[in-house]
Amino acid sequence: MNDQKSNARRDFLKTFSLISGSTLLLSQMPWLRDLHAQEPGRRIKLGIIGSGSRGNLLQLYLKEIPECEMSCVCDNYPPNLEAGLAIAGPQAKGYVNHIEMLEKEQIDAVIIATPLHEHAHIAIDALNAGVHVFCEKSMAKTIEDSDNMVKARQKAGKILLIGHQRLFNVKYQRALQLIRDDKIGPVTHIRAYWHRNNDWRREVPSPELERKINWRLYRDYSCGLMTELASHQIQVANQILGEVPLCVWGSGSTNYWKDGREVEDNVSLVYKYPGGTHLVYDSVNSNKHYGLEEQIMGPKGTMELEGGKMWPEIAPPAPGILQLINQIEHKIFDVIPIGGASWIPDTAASDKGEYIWNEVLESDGTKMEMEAFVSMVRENRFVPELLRQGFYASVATLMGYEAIQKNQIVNWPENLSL
Amino acid sequence: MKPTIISPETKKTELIVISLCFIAAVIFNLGSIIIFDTSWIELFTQIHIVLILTFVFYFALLFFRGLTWLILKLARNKQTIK
Repeated sequence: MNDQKSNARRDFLKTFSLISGSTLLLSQMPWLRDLHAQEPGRRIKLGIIGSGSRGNLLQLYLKEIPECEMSCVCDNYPPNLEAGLAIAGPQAKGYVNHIEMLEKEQIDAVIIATPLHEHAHIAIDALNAGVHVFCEKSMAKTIEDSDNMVKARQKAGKILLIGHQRLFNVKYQRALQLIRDDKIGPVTHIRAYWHRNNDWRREVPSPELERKINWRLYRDYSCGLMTELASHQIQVANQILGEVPLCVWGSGSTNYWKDGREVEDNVSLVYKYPGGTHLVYDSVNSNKHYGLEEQIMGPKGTMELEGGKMWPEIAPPAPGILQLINQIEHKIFDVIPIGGASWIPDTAASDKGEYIWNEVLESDGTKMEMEAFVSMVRENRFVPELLRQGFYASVATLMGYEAIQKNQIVNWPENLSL
Repeated sequence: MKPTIISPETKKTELIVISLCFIAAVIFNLGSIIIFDTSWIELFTQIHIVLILTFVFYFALLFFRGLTWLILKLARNKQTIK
């Protein structure tokens, strides 16, 4: 077990050293500075609130970090609580009520991975109890709740980190650096999508548990595709543009999975940013051909962040010898047209592009995010930029949801706490 | 199958031919760099294309040499019959 932990630690440090080689990159990811300098020392105590599938994944990453221990787990669904305790280890105590856990346990921080509607009140309770908080995305179910979380953090003076793992994904941050280096020129358009072809349902052992287990499908607990998927990509767009959207308009419907769900199975939105740049976003649950992607476009090139590739608008010329062979080949074999189309269709470029980041990444950033959170808690170091990213992504996501529900243009709200 | 014996003269001739093909391919690369104004480093980075081209030239030449040999042989046979 110790060997596994030290191997995982080495992997993290290796990944970190790859990115910390660039001071420019660090200037964009200041939250990673100093992480490598930490020596093993005091172990922090963590409480896990919500040990479903996402919570369990976070627990597995936390288990690899020697500087922390999971001393308690809280979940009001017995099978999840059992699973959480099994991962946390024999020292962990189980709770069904987070208030009781916060009162009885001496913990440094909590990890919140509950359904969305629970995020705000649990996070605020934890902050009020003087505990640092990591809360999974999306931040909260309403803009007001998100703002209240920010206020509670300001009052408590503790860390509040929202789980947007792309902030810790080297590939994404490298792309951000390339964009700042003017590789694709000023960003003039962003297109993002997340397409799946499944019903998004989980198996329910008895009908009365339907809403508890499939909470993502019901409005009381979730904002569906917007908070569960779009929030990740909206965070990326905000970070790349270095702005928040001025307004959003869009539409959504349930046109395929008419199975009693309350949330949409397809959404399409346009976010307008200062300077006139737009993020065009769509998400569907009835086709997976295009998968998920964030396409960043500028006059000098295009980037696809999920695939980790980049295409300059003017492809670099082929080597001279290949150009000459090609020219000779064309002269010999090409058919000479007598007449033809006066218009060449603007079909997509078909070249393979170049990789933004060549290293194969072990994780999507979640592992590094957990390392970073533990590190921040140990140092009692709050990073405002990380909360800003989580908060702004939450506000923009909920604006999109509101635009769909009200069928109107929704503007960026005024008087936010950040 | 009958063992094939390649005489030292034939070996020498083939080595000279393949060397000339290589030189021709290098000149081809050199010319393309000048024509298309690409980087001089392609003299080295495109060596794999130069080697492929060397063999293309060599086999093309081999075909024409074989054809010439066949025509000459047929002509000689015709003269012998007369």
